[in-house]
Amino acid sequence: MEKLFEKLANKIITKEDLILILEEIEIAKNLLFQKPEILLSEKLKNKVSESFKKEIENLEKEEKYISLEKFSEFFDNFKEFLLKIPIVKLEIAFEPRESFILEINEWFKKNLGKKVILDLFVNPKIVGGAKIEYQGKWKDYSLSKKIEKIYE
Amino acid sequence: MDEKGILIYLLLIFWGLLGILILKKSFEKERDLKISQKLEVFIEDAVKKETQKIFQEIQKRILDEFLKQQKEEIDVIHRKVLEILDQQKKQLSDFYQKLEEKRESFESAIKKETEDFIYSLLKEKETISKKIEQIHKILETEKDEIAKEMKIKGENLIEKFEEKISQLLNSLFEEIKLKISEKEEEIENYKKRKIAEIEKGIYQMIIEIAKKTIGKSIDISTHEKLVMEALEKAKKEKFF
Repeated sequence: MEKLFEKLANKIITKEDLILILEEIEIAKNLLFQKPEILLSEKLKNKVSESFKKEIENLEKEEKYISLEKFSEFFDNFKEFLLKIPIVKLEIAFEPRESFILEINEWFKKNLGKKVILDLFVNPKIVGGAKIEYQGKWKDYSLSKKIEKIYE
Repeated sequence: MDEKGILIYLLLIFWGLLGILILKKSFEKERDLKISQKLEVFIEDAVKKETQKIFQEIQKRILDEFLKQQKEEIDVIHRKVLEILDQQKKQLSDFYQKLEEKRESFESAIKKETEDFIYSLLKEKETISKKIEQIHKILETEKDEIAKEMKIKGENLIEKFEEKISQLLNSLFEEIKLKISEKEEEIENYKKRKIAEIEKGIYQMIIEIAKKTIGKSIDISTHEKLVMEALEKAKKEKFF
């Protein structure tokens, strides 16, 4: 199950993605025991993202997730898994492109050896570079800081 | 005998006579019917007259008695009043006498005091005159010396006064100098502070301008490069 969680979590890059998926899990859990004769993926139609619905369909195809209780347990465990993923807050001076976000994500995977969630915050006042916050610590690697140092 | 007693006495006499008359009348009726009507009337009138006479006499006696008593009482009161008046007169006379005595003694005391005071004044005047005369003599003899001494003392006084004034002015000047230097220092500090503030403001402006200029001149790929560099640096510093 851990591997399945990791596979699903790979698609979650930013904090916004995390919030969205947590909301979708809540919707799925609420619909799970309503009209049990209908499949959950059917009930989730137009209520969650297409990708999330597809993942549910895939799970339904595997017979072990056919019972409602199993599904409910799966959602609880997945939610718990997601909330344990560390968050890295990055304050940058520009609006990042999708490809750049993926690049950062990959960098963290490669250099930290684990999955992180990116919390990106755009602030042009830092001029360039980044301010980084991770596990309660933070450091200023911005150009703004460098310029201020020159005139100190 | 008082008025009430007299009245009771008169009433008893009247009722006695009336009883006798009634008894007599009834007795005459029983004994002899032959007595004529005229005689009866005559007796009756005589009794009435006699009764009236007695009554008037008693009335007169009572009145006389009462008047006599009143007169005696008035006499007693009159005597008492005269006695009281005599006593008052005597007391008043004694008072005036004492007052006169007091006045005389007071006058004599005042007179004596005044005489003593005048005497002492005269004595004092004589003493003072003698003293003045002595001082006069001393002054006459020591006139030149005193003038000299006064001159020296005056000069000394002027000298001391000048010295004091000079000291005072010096201390005043010192104080003013100190105040001026304090103020100058304050101004200097204020200037330094203000210059520092202005410099800070200028630097702040320069920084802001630099930030804006550099920020605008950086393209997306440079931004991305800078972020990646920041991550590498953080990794090197073992931030993660």
